[in-house]
Amino acid sequence: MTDLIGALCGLVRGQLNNFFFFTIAAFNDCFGNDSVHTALDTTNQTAAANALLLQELLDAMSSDQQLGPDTLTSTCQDTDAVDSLDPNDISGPSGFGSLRWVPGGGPLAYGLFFTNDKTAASARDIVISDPLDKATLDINSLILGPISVGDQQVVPPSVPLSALGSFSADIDLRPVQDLIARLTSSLDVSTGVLTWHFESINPATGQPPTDPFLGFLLPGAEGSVTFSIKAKPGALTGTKISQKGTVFFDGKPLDTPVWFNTVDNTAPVSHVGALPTREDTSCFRPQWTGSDSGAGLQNFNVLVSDDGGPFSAWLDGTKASNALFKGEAGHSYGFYSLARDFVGNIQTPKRPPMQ
Amino acid sequence: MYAVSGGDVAGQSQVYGYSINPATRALTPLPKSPYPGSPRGTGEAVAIDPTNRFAYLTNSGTNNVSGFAIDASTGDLIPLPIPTYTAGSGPHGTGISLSGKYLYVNNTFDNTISGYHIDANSGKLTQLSASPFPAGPYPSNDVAFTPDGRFFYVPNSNYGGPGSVSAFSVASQTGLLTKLSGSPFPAGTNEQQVAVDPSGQFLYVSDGGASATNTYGFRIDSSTGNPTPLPGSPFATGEGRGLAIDPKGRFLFTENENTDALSSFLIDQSTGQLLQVGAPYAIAHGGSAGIIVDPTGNFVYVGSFAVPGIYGFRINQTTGALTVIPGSPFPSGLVPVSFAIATLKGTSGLSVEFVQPAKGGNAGTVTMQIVGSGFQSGATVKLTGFGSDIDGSNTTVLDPSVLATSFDLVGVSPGIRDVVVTNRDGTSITAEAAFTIESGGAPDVSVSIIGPNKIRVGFNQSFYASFTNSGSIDSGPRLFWLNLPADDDSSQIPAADSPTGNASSVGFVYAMNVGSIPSSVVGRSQLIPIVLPSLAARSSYTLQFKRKRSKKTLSKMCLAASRKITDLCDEWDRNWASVAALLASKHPASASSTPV
Repeated sequence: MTDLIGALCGLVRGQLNNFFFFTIAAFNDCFGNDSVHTALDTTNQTAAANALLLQELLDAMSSDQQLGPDTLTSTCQDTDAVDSLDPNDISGPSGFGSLRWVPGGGPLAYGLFFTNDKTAASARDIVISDPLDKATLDINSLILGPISVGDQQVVPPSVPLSALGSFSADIDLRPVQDLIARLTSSLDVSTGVLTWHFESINPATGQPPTDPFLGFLLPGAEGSVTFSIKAKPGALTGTKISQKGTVFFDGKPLDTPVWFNTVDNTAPVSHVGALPTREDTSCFRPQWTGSDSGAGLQNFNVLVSDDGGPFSAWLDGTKASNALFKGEAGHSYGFYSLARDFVGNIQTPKRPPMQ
Repeated sequence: MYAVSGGDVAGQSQVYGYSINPATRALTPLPKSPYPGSPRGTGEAVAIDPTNRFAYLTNSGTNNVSGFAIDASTGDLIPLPIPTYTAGSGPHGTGISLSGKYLYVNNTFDNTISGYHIDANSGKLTQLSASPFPAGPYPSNDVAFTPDGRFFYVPNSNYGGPGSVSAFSVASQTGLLTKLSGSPFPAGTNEQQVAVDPSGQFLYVSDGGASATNTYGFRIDSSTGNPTPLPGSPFATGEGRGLAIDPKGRFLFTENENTDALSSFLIDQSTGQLLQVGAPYAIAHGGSAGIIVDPTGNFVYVGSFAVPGIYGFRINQTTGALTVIPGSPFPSGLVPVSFAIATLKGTSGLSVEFVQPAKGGNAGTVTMQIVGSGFQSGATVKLTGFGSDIDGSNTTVLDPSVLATSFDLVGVSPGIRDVVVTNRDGTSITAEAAFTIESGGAPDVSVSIIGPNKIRVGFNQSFYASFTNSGSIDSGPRLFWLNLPADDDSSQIPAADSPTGNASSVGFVYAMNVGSIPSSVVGRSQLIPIVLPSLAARSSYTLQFKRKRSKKTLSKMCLAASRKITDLCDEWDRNWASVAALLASKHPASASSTPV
């Protein structure tokens, strides 16, 4: 009874950034139904249940709406099939929005693509060069990704290239062609220039073929190289990271387009709005709001504490700015919110909620 | 570590060599130290090339430069076959370009800078044809490059006249210096030392004028290299002699002659403003101008006019506060004016260059990659520093220069830890303060499709599915879905790793017939499940696939982490987590991805 009276008398325990406490002062039923958060039955998945789930999942996945690129955890890309195209291209993280926002801490994956013209001779010697911007990129974090020539693929070790020094591989094209494509990839740490060099090699002699028309990349064939690299630690939100490569087909340079991303290193902020110190119903509507510098605010986690107990999840990943909460009369509740932005930066509580 | 003493008897230039105790960071003179340079040479400054194979000493008394090879096992300095190289009048400050190809020397008394090409094999110097380059007035005893090596700065002492800092662009292919428009830029009265922060944004110059109490700060224009005074500059840092910045760019240290003190400052990363940390640290007869932060960023050494005259301090990585290293001050010659540190591989060949990631959360497991040399199969790794040691598990030596290991950090106290690698033969190396345990943390997995948005009709085109964990702990098993158009002529996914197959990659791909989840065609979509047993903290994994189309139409492909589609997928995650965990247990080498 003492506890109840204490709760009914409810003192404001203070608003602290994104925290807020208040006390329910009276009994009342809640008829709202907008805070649905249904727990899933996770017990004993059976094959039949899996089949049902699969069908539901496939149904969901078959809908473009379900897969819209509204977060970085799903992404879509339109591809146009055409008769002719620019043979060289570059692609990187799709990021979020038109500025292709990406988080600052994670690696950024890039691919450079090259295609030999279908009317051209076979290419003997191809160099791909990408001058990395040392002002915005952490050169030591660069790791080579898969490399492909025609139908062949090489996967370098997942080790920083600055530690490896360089990476070399022979791509055996036999029996389709009696050739080896010899690859050497290196990073000039002083200039930041990343290079892949493919040479045509006669397997019998270990030397370039004497036939000038023999080359490892056949007309119409394609190749690609990939790598990942991180932005420099502490890169400011809004920092543009651009990549542009050059492909040298037997010495003839062809530039790729520019691919850019924008770094978002700033976590969003949010706070729970003030509530009355006493509520006359057990059903009430906490509100919260937030903001973000960079990609923008995606959603909130809202946590609740009952009678000064530990905070626990109430709403996870809600995009709403308020929701109906059903409490119990005589209890004191505290709320706080944590915001997440569209690249995954999550607000850090400034300090633990006051109890 | 190598130190040049400016006050030795008869002006004999010589370099003092020290080994640095890997645990305590105390300095012990090398048995053959000091190493003579030039008789009556009066040593002024020392520089070491980026490969740690050659050292160069400026001799202001004999107007030349001494060259040495560094013995990689003992650290001894061995005079080059041609031991000295002609410089201008009064060579003082010296530095080597980031490429290691070029050496520059400030000739204080003829207002020039000498430039030399360094032979990568022998260390021999050849003066550049355009050298010397006009500089000054009175270029002083220090130089600094921007981190990209494009710009070069020299403080000008001018001996009581208006001080300044000269700025040059550096031609990376030829080593030629070109003075920037507007150079020299005014700064103080007697500029002594100069430093550029690792981000390349800020330039600081110490003023050693008799009445000066300042450090001048500038913002560097990243495209032109021009320095512009920072708001609030000059900063009251005490009469400036030595000046140094830690490798992470968080702290600046100044050595003050008048006050016999070493001062520590926090650098505001966005504004460049300096905020003093605590009170200055007293150094008997301080201010010899010798100062250096070691490559780990954890220790700073300063010189004094006293004997012994080298003081060492541990740097608190959070606050910048300093603690004296036991045994400090260390033996030295008279007036150590310049320091340089070479990182040698050591006789065991065991070394650690860096670890990735350098920080991780205590809410899960963090897989770390350690890059260095001399790692042996069977090596073990642990985190030490305070509290109980934390042993790494699933330690794999991928290469003598790289090993990977995983730490269960759940519930471990946050803080900075040392990383200790012990080889099977008992040799051990400690990377001090190399890893920081953060509070909390979570995986943060994102996906991206890397590929052109146009493909040629009738030809195979490569695409890549990229999976990234930007979070501070490993992800654990994850299910993804690749959704390709059902009307592609063909879609190729690399051969699936089967549960009993050779799982050599960091991720498994189950394209078909695994468990009860097949690749399926629904309406316009072909759905391909992809399972990654784990994606290490701050790492990525890239998977190639190919597509071919004969229809000249626009098509859409999608990649999604299942947990973000619907709660339905969360349930699938749980199913697949159990499957993937089982598979991962059968293929431990493939159970983690590699940090990048």
